[in-house]
Amino acid sequence: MVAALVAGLFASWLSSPRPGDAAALGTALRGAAAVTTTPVDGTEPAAGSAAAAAASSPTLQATPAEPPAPGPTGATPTELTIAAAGLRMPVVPVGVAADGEMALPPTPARAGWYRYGALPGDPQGAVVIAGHLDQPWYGTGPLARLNDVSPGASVVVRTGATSRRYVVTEVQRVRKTRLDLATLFRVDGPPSLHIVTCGGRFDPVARRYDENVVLVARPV
Amino acid sequence: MKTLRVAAVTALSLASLGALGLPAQAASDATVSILHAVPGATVDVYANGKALLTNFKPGTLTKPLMLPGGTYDLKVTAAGAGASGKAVIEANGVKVPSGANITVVAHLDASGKPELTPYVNDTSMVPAGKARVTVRHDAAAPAVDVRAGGAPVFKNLTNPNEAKGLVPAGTIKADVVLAGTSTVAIGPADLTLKEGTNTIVYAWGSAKDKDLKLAVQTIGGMHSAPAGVPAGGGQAQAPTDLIRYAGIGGAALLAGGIVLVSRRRAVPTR
Repeated sequence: MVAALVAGLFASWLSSPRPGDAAALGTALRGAAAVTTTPVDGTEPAAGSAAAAAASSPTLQATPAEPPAPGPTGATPTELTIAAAGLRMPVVPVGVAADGEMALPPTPARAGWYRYGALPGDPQGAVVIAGHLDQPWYGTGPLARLNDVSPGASVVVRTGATSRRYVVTEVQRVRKTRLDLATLFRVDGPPSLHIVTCGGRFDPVARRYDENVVLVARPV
Repeated sequence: MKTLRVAAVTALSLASLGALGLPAQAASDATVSILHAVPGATVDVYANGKALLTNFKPGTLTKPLMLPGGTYDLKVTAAGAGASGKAVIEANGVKVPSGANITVVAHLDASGKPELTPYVNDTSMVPAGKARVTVRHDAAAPAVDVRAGGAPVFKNLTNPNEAKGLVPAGTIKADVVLAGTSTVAIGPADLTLKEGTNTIVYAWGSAKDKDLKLAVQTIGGMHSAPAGVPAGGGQAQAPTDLIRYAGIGGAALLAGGIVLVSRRRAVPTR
């Protein structure tokens, strides 16, 4: 039993150092001066001896310190379709505007995909697509129809030659002052699609709406 | 001396983390990576007398290790020399402050002698759309400039110092030139600076032996969201709104007027 525990700890230490291994590894280092030292931090004596054993045969991995490969290119979203709302519009990559807000295509006829977020098909993080609700020189754009979309509706994002399908889980109207931007633009967590436009009341002086409409969908 | 400098930098970076109200993740542990940047020597690394790494090859970097904050005696020996083997490099009392993210680099000093330098990595949040780039001079070479797309970005960097800054995320063509000249010492190399990361570029090797090169370490988790989604420009309906408001106001005036008139009329008849 104890032997199995010791072997298990040893094996987990061998595989790769993780935050959870810190205590054992730390003990190994601290106990280095004298192997018989009582482990600190309330560590189990068994763990201490396992760590001491592990420390005698180090296997910490080192890999070449090379530049990371350039990010994926070419597979960016090109078209957004929500058939249930009769919405179909081109999508272009966008970044951050000078004022720190998300940059958007000027015309409501196009949506922008946030290029620092996830790509459709990524194992984690949110794909963020946003576009203008309207413009004085254009009128109301297709994204006004987000308000008509119900949970369960299908959303299709085309990336080049392939398409990814999502199912809507909710459509929220959120005051801009209360919008959880960190969650909207999260780069970790389960994969999802966030489609954003404006809503609520338009302040003609500030030239801003007071709400965002956020459609949340999960990949299927 | 070096430890003092590192400790001071750490205190600063920890203070800024606190100011941002970030969760105190693993408050007692430090994140430590080790980079081998001494050309030609495969080594073993000992911490407090125990082997931490064996067969450590030049140009390689360990995964981050979580270690309790404290003081460590580090020794680097030739591979297989054993715990009591002759030290190629030795650094006693290396301070590893709790919570800090550190890279310990085994490298050559400007004159070509191996040494260990612990650097504190800046893991403070990076604004949306930006990347942090850090350059460290760990080569047996004189002062250098680091250029991006041919333009000097970091000037007159000397061993074992570092320079850093925030740049738009993306790919740059970087090279290293002798300070104040356009004599290329390393590169050019394409560097992808990913949004919300700290890309740390090490210039290492020896100018005399003509083996200067770059090593790259990337630390993530500093991503920030944009400040908002300004997704509406408004309708071209201001004139109609004005007419509507004028209409409502006019109706109110009219109604008020009628009330007043009828009251006036009512008075004399009483």
